[in-house]
Order: sequence, then C-alpha cells, then structure tokens
Amino acid sequence: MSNKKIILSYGLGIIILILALFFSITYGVKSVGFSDVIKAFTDSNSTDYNVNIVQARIPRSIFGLMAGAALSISGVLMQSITRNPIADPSILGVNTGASLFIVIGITFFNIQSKLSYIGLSFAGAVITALFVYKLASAGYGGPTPIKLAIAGAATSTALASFVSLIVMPNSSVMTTYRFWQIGSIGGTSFEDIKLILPIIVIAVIVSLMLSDDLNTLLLSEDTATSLGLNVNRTKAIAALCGVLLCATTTALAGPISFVGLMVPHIVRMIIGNDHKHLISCSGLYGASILLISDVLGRLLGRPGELETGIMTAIIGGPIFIIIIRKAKVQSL
Amino acid sequence: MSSNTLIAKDIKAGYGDKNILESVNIHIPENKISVILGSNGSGKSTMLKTFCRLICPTAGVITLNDKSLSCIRSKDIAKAIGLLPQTSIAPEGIKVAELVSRGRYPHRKFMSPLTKEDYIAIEQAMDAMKITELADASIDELSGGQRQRVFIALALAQETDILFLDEPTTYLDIAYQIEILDLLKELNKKRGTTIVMVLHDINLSTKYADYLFAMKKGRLIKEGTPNEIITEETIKEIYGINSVIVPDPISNNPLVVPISSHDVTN
Repeated sequence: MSNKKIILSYGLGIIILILALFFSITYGVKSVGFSDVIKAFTDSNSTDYNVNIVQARIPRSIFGLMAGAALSISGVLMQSITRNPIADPSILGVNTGASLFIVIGITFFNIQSKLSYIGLSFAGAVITALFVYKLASAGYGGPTPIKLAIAGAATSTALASFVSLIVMPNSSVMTTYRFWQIGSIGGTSFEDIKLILPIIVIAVIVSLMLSDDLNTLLLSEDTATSLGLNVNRTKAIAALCGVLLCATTTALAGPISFVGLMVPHIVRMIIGNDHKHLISCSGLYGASILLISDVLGRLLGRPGELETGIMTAIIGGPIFIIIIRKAKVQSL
Repeated sequence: MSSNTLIAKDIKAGYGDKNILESVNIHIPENKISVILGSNGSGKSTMLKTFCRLICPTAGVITLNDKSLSCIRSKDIAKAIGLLPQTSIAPEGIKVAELVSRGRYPHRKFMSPLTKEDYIAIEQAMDAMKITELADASIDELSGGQRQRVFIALALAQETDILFLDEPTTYLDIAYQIEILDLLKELNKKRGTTIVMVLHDINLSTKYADYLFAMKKGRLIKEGTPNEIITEETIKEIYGINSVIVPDPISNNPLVVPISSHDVTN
C-alpha cells in the first residue's frame, strides 16, 4: 500500500466529513444559510430563528458523527474476529439482542434514563453475541463465515419475534419503541453525547492499540499463535470493544443497519487490510455516511423526515447484495 | 549457528479428552533437517503442533534451552520457534512484502512502525525464498508454489533458529516440491536453521533429511539417520506395506520401492 494513497484517503475522508457536517447542520426541513451557521458559533445568545435551528441541530450532527464512526469500527472488529466479510452488528443479531433487552426494560421495568438504555443494550448485545458465536461453533469446522451469518440471521429473527410479542399488545410501549426501533439520531441531546463519548473514545483507542494484533490474527490462528499472539485474549478484547461500540449507539439511536457492513468493506477495497488505517478510515468515512444518510432522510422525507436507519438500509441493501455476489465472500 | 535446544519429555497430547500422543520423547537435532514420518493418524502432526504450542500437552513438558515453554513469554518463544502450518491464510489482496512483514510481529515494539532491522529481515527472508521480484504482487495472483514460498518467507522474517513445517509440499507438483525443499536445504546450510518437517513422501524425506523420526499410534518407534532406519522391516512396521529398499542411483540414499499386490515379480 503506497503512502500516497493512504494520505489521499485520509485527506479525502476529512474533506467529505467536513462537508457532511456542514450539510447536516444547514439542510433539513428548514434549510439555513452559511451565515446562520457562523452566527450560531459566534453569537451564542442570538434569538434569531435560523440560528436557533442551527444550535438545535449541532448535537444531532455530533451524535451522528459518533454513531457512524462507532458502528463502522464495530463492523471492522466483528469482521476481523470472525474472518467474515459479511459480519456486522445487525447481521450477527447483536442489534436485535440489544433491542429485545431495551423493549423488556421499557415494558416491564419502565426504564427512563439513557444510562439504563445503554446498560440493557450492552447486556443484550453481549449475550446475543456469545449465543450466536456458540451456536455457529457447533458442528464440523467451527464458526465458519456462512454458519455465523445463518446463526445470526436465525437468532435475529427469533429475537425480533419476541420483541413483537412484547410490543404488540402494549400501545404505549409501541409508540416509544416504534420511534426508537427505526433508528433515528434526531432526538439526541448534549447530555446523551456526554454519556456515550467516553465509552466510544475508549473503545476506539483500545481498538487502534490492537491494530498489529488484529493484523496478525488475520493470518490464521496457527500462524498467529506461532508468532506469539495470544489469540483468545485479542479476540475477547476486540469483541468487547465491538459490542460496546454498537451497543451504546443502538441504545440511543435504535438499530441502524448496514453501516457496519458496507463502510469497512469499501474502505478495505481502497486501503487494504492494515488495521491501523482500516479502523481510522472506517471511522472517518462511517461518520460521513451516517451524516449524509441523515441529511438525505430529512430532504427526501419532506415535510417530515425519514429516519436514519431507513436511509442506511436503502443505501446499504444494494451494497450488501454486491458484496454477497462477489465470489470471494468465503472468508477474509 | 543456532544453539537452541528443543526437547519433548514424556509428552501426552491430543484433541479434547482423547490422547493421541503416548509419552513421546524427542530431542530435536540442532542445525539439522529432521523429518517426522508416520502413517495417517500416527500422531506426527499432533507432535509438531505440540512443539509449536498449538496444542497444550496433557502430560510431560517441552523445554527450550532447559526452560519449560509454559514459563517463557509467548513472544520470546516466537523469536526462537517458527511455523509453517498445514494451511496458511492471507487477507484478500495483500501485497507479498506486506504479508512477509507480518512475520516481524514478535520483534516489534508496541504501536511503532517497522524499524531498519525489520526491513533487513524482510528483505533477507524474501531473498532466501527468491520472491524479491514479487514484492509488490498481490498474493491472489501467485501460483501455489509461489504462495508457499511467500508463507515460508513470512516464517523466515520471524528470524527463528528453529523452523517447523507441516507438510510444506502438499498440493504442489514435483517441480515445486523439489524447489521448496532445495530452498529449505540451502537455508539450513547457510544459516544453520534447525528444520523439522512432516512429509508424506518417504523418498523425499530420505533425500533431504539428516535425521528421521518414525511414529506409530502416538509413539516414537524409531529414530536415526535415513541409512540407519530405512529398512524393509521399518517400512513394514510404520506403514504396514511390503517394499524393497534400493540405493538412490544419484545420492546413494535409501530409496523405498513399495510392492503392490498387483506387481508381477519375475
């Protein structure tokens, strides 16, 4: 991998992200101009309507940026641990597991605080991830990519029907759940960001610190072991980071699918398999893609808006099909 | 020249609850090429995997320079013992030089870029396997023989005194087999690398090995130089087949000619 291409990828990624942030703040049901954005940053006491819109949109944009980066990096980690190019939080059923726990929380324990959303989401995600991995490990050949995908899809479907079972009879839960479930970054505040920022930052830093280990892991477990890598420890730490990243995002925004699948895949095609760059670039481009999806959702859904999760599915679905159809989908 | 002594004492090991190896004692001959022979299921691969820490022995101990492997830091063992596993995997589209550089893992400091020593080791490894001109090629474009040389180079970049290879010539045609084994012989002569291989082909084993280990039903039944142990009786004992041993017309090493029940003797 030439250095030039890598620098170009980062440069382009940063430019796209800045543009995406700008659009995310200015475009929407009510679009505002560049001068309003400047004013919002320079004059915090302004009572101008447009300036207030900008100020209200900032947390949404920041959260979108974090969520996109977190989901994409989570996708990288899950793909590398399972050596499966089609692994991501939604395909492995992790998101549905998080959903089920949150629904149980809403229905039976009347949870309100964002922290309990995060806690339940994390618990649901971890338990589901372990279950799916165990299920796929059974039988000949261990957890192969195909078995993991099937185990994830089956588990996800089963858990989703439990979710429906609980939600359907409760109209009040239904209303809360419905909005959460589609995956929206619209309702987030600075308090939410403060809550998840430390978790995401730590998980991303730890993932980056694991880069060399993950590079070694991709060679096959036998080679990795003979190179002195502690395979199980590396997998466990990486899995914990991956689940933390998607669970915190899912807790606040609902399950947003396909970002964790398509972003690492595209980035891998461009810059290769070195995790140092794969993780950073996926974070960078993932943030942009989520923000752009959100903006598109606002523009296409006028006068209301389409939730981010719907937009990522619309964009991600076809890309998923392309990935599946590629002959080399067998393993990484 | 290396002086790393690797010894297995009373090793029992296997998969799950089932022991395949029954009290095996092996002292790997230093600076030599050794081959472990045996029929399918004799435990030769299990033995190699146990030496390489892929399987944990249920009894007995493996020592490197009189220290038990379990007491040595994993990365320090990786600086002494390298492995070419039966099947190697590479990430899709990775460049040859980058793949070989992954062999530097045990030598690298946390989160730091490749050093000058790393680059020298990578260059030497690629040179030894004659793949320098393939450095920028993608692994997917290579032939089977080239791929295998790249993976051996990865293990060489690890700069270990001892190198284990699990069936390095399987799936390769005879030309590639000779090419790989010649390169390994050269490596052994030039650097004094101790090489231990599992090979299925007895005649290639006698051609290249300085020392042979014969295994059967999880036990080491014979060991010695090819001339010492390749006899019609030993072949019968290891593989259960009748054979005639003739001298190799070129090297004078013992050559095993198996006898089929359809052979017509005159």
